[in-house]
Amino acid sequence: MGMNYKDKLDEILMQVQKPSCYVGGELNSVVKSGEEVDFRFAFCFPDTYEIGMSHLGMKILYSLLNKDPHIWCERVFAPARDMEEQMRRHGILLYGLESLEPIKNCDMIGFTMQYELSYTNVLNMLDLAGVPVLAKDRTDLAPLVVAGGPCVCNPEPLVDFIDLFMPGEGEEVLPEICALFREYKAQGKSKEEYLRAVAQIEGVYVPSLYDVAYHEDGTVKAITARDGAPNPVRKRIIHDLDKVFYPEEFVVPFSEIVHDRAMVEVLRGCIRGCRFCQAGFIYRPFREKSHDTLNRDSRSLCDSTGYDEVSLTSLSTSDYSEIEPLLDELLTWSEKEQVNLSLPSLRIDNFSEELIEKISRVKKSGLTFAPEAGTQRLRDVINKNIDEKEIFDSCRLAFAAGYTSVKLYFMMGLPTETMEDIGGIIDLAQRIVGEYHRMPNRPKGKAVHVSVSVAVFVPKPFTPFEFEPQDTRKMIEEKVKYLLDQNNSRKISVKYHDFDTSFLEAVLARGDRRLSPVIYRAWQKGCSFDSWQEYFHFDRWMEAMAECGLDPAFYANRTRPYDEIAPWSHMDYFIDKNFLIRENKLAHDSKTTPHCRRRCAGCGANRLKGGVCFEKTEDVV
Amino acid sequence: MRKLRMWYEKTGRARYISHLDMNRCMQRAIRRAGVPAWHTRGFNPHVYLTFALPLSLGYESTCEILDFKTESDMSCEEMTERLNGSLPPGIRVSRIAPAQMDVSAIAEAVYTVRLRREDTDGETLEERFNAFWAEEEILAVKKTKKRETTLNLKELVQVSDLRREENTLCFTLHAPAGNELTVNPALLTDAFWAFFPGENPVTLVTRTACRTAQGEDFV
Repeated sequence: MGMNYKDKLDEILMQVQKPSCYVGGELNSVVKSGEEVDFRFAFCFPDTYEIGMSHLGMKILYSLLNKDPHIWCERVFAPARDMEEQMRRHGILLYGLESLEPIKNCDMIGFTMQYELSYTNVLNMLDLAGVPVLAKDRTDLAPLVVAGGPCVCNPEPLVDFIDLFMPGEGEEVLPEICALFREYKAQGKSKEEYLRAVAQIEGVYVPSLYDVAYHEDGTVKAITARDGAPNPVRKRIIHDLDKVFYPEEFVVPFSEIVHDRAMVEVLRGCIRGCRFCQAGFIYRPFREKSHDTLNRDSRSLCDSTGYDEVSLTSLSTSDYSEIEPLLDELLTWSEKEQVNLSLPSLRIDNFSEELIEKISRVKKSGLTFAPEAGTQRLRDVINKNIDEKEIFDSCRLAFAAGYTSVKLYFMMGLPTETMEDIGGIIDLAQRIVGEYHRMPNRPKGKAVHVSVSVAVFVPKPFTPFEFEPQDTRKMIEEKVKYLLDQNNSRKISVKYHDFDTSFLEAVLARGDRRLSPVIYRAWQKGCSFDSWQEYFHFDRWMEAMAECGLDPAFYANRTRPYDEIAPWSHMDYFIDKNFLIRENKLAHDSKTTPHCRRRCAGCGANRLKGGVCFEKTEDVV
Repeated sequence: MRKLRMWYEKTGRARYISHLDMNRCMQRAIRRAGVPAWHTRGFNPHVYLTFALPLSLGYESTCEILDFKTESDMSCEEMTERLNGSLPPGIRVSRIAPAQMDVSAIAEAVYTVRLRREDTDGETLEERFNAFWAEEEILAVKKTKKRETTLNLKELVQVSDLRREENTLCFTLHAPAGNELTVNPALLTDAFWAFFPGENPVTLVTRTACRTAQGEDFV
């Protein structure tokens, strides 16, 4: 223990790209010593430094754990392929950036599961760390492998590798499981004893304490719990976002990362209820932070990091009820200190002249809107409650403010979709171009540009569309061809996502435990960095599925009857299945559901007794 | 408006920070420290910094130089103190003073070079280096975006103070640097490792001084 790779790294770092990602030592990184703590946590983000260092959740939990003087939390990212090769060749095990010591000596190794295509990276990182990849091969209490993040709402495909999952929000439950671990470790207890005890903590799922039985046809028959483990397992939420811990400092990277700015979390959850969106449902109830808290968070982050941009992050920042007072408060110091304000995730329908003026003060970022579907009918099906007038009004406002390019996000493969809906995408883009040309004062010599980005719809658990099939490859190929044929304007560019990765995402998102061996097999065949185009091996994944006797279409392309037991039915995210069925039926009738502030749709989140469900409003419009 | 020059050190793990990242790093440190450096106007306002001499990725330096402007009265001492309170580990400001010479006056740089390799010892390294340096010509190809030139390193650089530190061979290197001609120490060390091939050589270079054509320190 205590072997430090500092000198060994000098031998290999000049052989790889972006060596500064592998040495730590960044401003605000927390360096303790092994002797001063009795619990070491390796927080692993299953992708590269550039991507992981942009993740807000990791920053919050890193600071939170390190506040405890008995705990040392270090950051670990997946080495890029060139670095991985060097590490394996020189016998360098995966290490924490703060200590440069191997993480296999840590008490707990935690992964944040942000997207399904990062699953093989989890296995690869464990292997690189010298830690057994299969949970059953790890017989000691330490290192214990845990996971949190949005994918934990259906954690089943990962049960062979992870000892414990934390559904929901981690700020309270993570320190609780660490505290229990320290207690059990001091008493010399076994891993089994710990897992039985920790399963009693609200917001903890220990997969080894549950058994799944299947029907002949492969659907789930029953999920049963042992040793008093809870069934269902309830997610944890933070009730008071103003009192919850928020970091005053962020680690400031040396190298360029994807989102390099001070991120402030404005709210959690979403009131809109768009039927395809998992995040909006699994993070309910909608809870806001007060604008004082946010202003204070923004200020201390900029001071401690020197960032010149603050990003107000959430699923739908324009739904924040105090947005105007917050912006006004921020502008009292941001303009003077040359700090730019960025508001990603704005809804088209409450985009106003005042808002656009405020966010453009220091520097104009690009403008992006997400109509998601090309026709009003299909937008109603998915419950994206915006109409064309709102889309054009917002674009007109943007153009009047000097923006000449707009990016639009769409999906294809949505339930009830027809070719007319696909054509509607280009039609909409063309009419936006037309709006620009109709403006009397548009900037001379600058052409408008509308970028259209189309993703393949992936049905997700805990949404009204969890019963829907994904379009087959043939259907998507036809739609893409039609889409491209419809576009003959140079002012409109179309990008579309790769089908294979979307298909795999669909398989894993609604998968069951039988996919665990498939993931293992795929990793053994050399799969990792599946979300990276150049490293994705679709054929190897399909081989792995076939070798395990499973058909991917069973998971992705099957319409699931309402009464079928889902592989995630033992996870309680406070989203009522009957609500999802009601919404699914409304979708097929092209009927919309108003948002939470207009009328409660009875999703079930109010059982958590907080947030917008209990908001006092004078006027419900 | 004062034009100020900052001398700083970039050592330890900080040697893996690239030049572009260094620019970003300094800008943020200046902002964190509350040092009132002049910002550019326009679409993307940022602190305007100019670096006197680029430093290769992987090299340390105890004499990095960058210029910036300020319209304020803050003393150089206060700026130095504030910056040193807000820089990441491995980067430290030695002093700030009004810029005197023009950057084009830089003609030479001085380096400490350390060589080691797992499969060989200090004695062998020293012997091999002496044999290498005894050659009349040591040719290296310098590649830039526009052209490739072949240089005779023996005519351009001076090696002195050759010594052993356990299994590491050290020496001082004087090489041309600046607008006229820059000879990167890597040209010499690559040539040496080609002369004495083996697996996983480790080359550690630290720049220690910047000089004018007259041999004076650049200020």
